[in-house]
Parts: sequence; structure tokens; C-alpha cells
Amino acid sequence: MISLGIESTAHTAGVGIVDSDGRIMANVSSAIRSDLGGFRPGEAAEHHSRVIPDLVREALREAGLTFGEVDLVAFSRGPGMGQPLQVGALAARALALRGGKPLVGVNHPIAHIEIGRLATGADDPLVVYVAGGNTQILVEEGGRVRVLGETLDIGLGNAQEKLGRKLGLGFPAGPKLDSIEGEWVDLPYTVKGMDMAFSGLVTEAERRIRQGVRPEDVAWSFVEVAFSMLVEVTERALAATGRGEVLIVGGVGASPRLREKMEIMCEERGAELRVTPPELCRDNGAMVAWAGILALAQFGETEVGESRVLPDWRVDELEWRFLRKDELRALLEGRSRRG
Amino acid sequence: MEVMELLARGAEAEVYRGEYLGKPAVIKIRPEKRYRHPSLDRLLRIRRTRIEASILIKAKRMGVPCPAVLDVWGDTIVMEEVRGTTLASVLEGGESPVGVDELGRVVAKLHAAGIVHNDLTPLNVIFGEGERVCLIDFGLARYSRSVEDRAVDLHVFEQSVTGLAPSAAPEVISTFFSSYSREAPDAASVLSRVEDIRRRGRYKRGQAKRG
Ligand SMILES: Nc1ncnc2c1ncn2[C@@H]1O[C@H](COP(=O)(O)OP(=O)(O)O)[C@@H](O)[C@H]1O
Repeated sequence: MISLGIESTAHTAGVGIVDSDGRIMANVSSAIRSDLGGFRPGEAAEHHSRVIPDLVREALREAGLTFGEVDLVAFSRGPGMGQPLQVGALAARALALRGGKPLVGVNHPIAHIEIGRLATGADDPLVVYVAGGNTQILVEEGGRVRVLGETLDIGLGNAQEKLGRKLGLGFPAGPKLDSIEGEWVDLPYTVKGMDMAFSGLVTEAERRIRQGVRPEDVAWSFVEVAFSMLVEVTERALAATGRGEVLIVGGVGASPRLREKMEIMCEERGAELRVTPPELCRDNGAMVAWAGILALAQFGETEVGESRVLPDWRVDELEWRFLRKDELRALLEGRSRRG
Repeated sequence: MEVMELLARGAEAEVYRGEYLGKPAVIKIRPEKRYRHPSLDRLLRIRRTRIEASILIKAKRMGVPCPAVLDVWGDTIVMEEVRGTTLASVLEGGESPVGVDELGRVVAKLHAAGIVHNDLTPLNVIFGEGERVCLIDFGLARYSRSVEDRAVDLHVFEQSVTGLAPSAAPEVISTFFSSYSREAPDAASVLSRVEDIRRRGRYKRGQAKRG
């Protein structure tokens, strides 16, 4: 079975093609450029509607396929920004209807997690999902992905971008902040249970810069504190769940500094660390295509008439199981026998 | 202080059983975390140890069931041993816990004393004989009477119970919330703030998402 997936929840439009053995046949994307940092949802939607048709053609070319050979069309249904989401959904509906193919709406965080499991071979991990607007510690339990801990205010990625804008680093600031070296400056560290908060940290970092503290010291310490908080809550969740594997997914997962810290913690706890490769960490179409296959196998297609986007769709609102490869195969066979 | 055996290795602390001045006691040490910068790490370990001791003493004085502090220095607290089972292991064993009702009253009393726990997970609640409930692990606790801070306590409890034991969660949470609200100061505002915190999660992810 071959799946084409469309991603458009935020700044990135992506199209990917994946087969049911988990082979990634194509994964192309285009992100809205914004040198000042930040963008309006309307601009993103406009960008996405301009590039998606070309991305679909490019992905098919890269995979060496015609659209006729694709078996299903998947799209990111949410959570995300309404307008950009609409654009991806519209394109997916049009393709599915034109080709008479099943349409499958997928949850964006689930897609991040599942491509991470596919790429790293993680089985039943504790998941650290760390992106712009999302920072959550997740685990699959009782047929659902549960939120054990999360940010109480803004996502870690957005916190980095806020400070980055102040420092004039341009968007995305995360990777640049990561490589700044500096000296330790005391900044607020907020962990409550397995939850964390970042906006107080941003405010205090900005205040320190205004006070004349060297910006590189503030930047370095900011990253130190933010990542330490995330590693600490991950360790708390490991202790609470007894899981033996940690899987990092989401855009900020590409950070080498975060990986280094997680590695030290996991080693001391005797847990395996699995990090999704950078090209699959950021928003992309392949993750949507793969999650589309998993969703089709478990729940069937999304009727076109029922396929409105869900900008507020939390990961714990839907049923979901982490399937093994053999379970997936059995479900897909059952489905094709039933026709 | 004589150390005998490792009792538990928590997320941040090592807890040993031992003897202090000839009496049984537990010793809680917060070892170094190598993933954090040494200055940050030292600051957190010392600060949390100091806060934990100070708040345990205050909470005890206000009638909140928690271990008595026997001594404290650096990254180490010596305290009374609490006998019983954590709520986490009760839930893991699939039993439906008795004493959740009492837990609600205990947290209400803690809040009335001007303290928030900030780490109210099933690992930090010990059920003893009968319906006795004891709170432990006050390293993240604060002196606060704010509705927001109190609501975060309840949110942390709800979220961790749901994540760790989804099938038992609905009953545990509703029992806990109803006994809490019978006794807690400003219970109505706190509960409606818990609702806000849930909604906030939804809103921010819908609106401010950036990859
Ligand atoms: N006073 C005590 N009496 C008995 N057991 C304790 C006591 N304090 C801690 N423990 C045990 O040690 C574990 C870890 O202690 P805790 O204070 O929660 O540290 P951490 O923050 O590392 O989880 C607890 O879950 C409990 O099983």
C-alpha cells in the first residue's frame, strides 16, 4: 500500500510518499520564509496553496510513481493554525476525490511520534515531543496517547524564537541559539510535577539583556535552563512509568545540545535514547503519509464530508495504539480481504 | 547517622533506610545531575533540599500528615520513615484505592496552610494503615495562596493519574476533587481555574503553533 501525505499545520508545507513496509519514497517540503521571525496564518496559507501542487508533482517524480499508483491520501487534520490547515485539507480532498482514493485525516503529534518510532525502531517509548507550540511528555497507555507532562504556557520552540527575535537572530533561531557559547547567568527554572513553564524564563532573559548582561551569556544560559527543565521532566516520567526507552520527536529534537543532555540522563537511568533524524523531526509530509497508513489500518478512512480540520485537536482526544509491524500487516490484510 | 539499605531511587533523590540517634530514619540525598551545568545543578539541589525541610516542618505544624524532619544539611535531609504503599503502586496493582477521599482533605488542609506541593503525583502519596494518607517529596513546594498555584496542584494530580492509570483515573479523580472541594478554601475558584488550565493547553496549541 502506498500513501501520499500532506502536511500544512504551520509554517511548512510538505508532501511525502511512504509504503506500508515503512519505506520513505519521497519527502519534499517548502517553508514560508520570514526573516523577521513570526508570520501570519494568512501568509502561510497563501504560501502553502501556491507550493502544494508542485510539491505533489515533485514527490511523485522522486518516488518514480504516477498518482494512479498511490492507494491513499493522508493529511494533517490538526492541531495547528486554521487557515494553513484548510489548504492542506482542501488539496487532499481534491486529490482523493479525483483519484477515487480513500482520504485519511491524521493527528499531527501522532504523525511526529509514529515517524520517530519507524525511523528509530522504538517500540513502546516514553515520547518527548518538543516543537514550536508543543512541548509534551507522552506515553501510550490503555489505547490512547496520554499526556504525562507538558508546558503550562508556551512551547519550548516558541520560547527560543521569542528570545531569538530579541537578539536579532532571524527565524528559525533555535539552531543558532544552540551553538552560542557563553558563561552561566542565573535564570528562572520552573518545573511542577512533570509540567514546565517557559514564558517566565523568556521574560527574565530579556530583562537581563536590557540590564546589560552579555547577550551570549544570556542566550547560552537560556538554552541550558530550558533543556535542563525538559530533561528533568523526562527523567521524572521515566521514574514514574518505568519505561526503558526515550524517543525524541518534533522540530527542536534536531538540537545536538538537547540530545547530549538527554543522553547523559538516559545513560544514568539505564534507558535507551532514540532520536529521530533531523529531516524527519521537522514538520514533513512523510510522517503524515505513514500515520495515514496506521490510521487507515486501525480506524478506516475519513469520509470527505466529515473531514473538516480540527485546529484544537489534542493528542489525547483520539484513540491510538502503537502497532508492531506484524500487527499492522495483519490489520491491513484483514481490511483488504473485507474489500 | 548510620545508612543501611537503599529504599528507593526516585527521579531526583536516593532514599536510604538507616538509623539516626539510635532511631530508625530515612535519609534523602539529591545527587548531582550531570546533564545540568554544575552551577545550576548545585543551586537547585541545595535550594530544593532547604525548601523541602522548611515546608515539611511548617506543614507538619499545621497538621498536614507528612514525615517529621530530623536533620538537614547540604543536599541531605534525614526524616522519619513513613510506612505504607505509594498510590502509584496501588494503582499499578489494579486495586481501587481507599483513602483517596482522605487525600482530598489532606490537600485541602495543605492549601489552607498556605502551601502548594507542586509535585502531586501518585508517587508522592503514601497510604498507610486504614485510611491514613501521608504526603512526601516537598522539593518543589512553595508558600503560596494563589488560586493559580493551587489549581496547578490539582492539574498535576489529574494529569499524572490519568497518564499512569487511565482505567482507574476517572473514579480516583472525581473522589479526590469532590472531597477537596468540600474542605478547601476558595474551592470553586480553584476548580474553575483547573478547567482554564486544561483549556489553555488547547488554545495555545491551536493558535500559536510554529512547527
Ligand atoms: N519519609 C519516607 N518514608 C518512606 N519512604 C520514603 C520517604 N521518603 C521517600 N520515600 C520513598 O522514596 C521514594 C523517592 O522519594 P521522593 O522524596 O519522592 O524523591 P524523588 O523526588 O526522587 O521522587 C518515594 O517514592 C518513596 O517510595
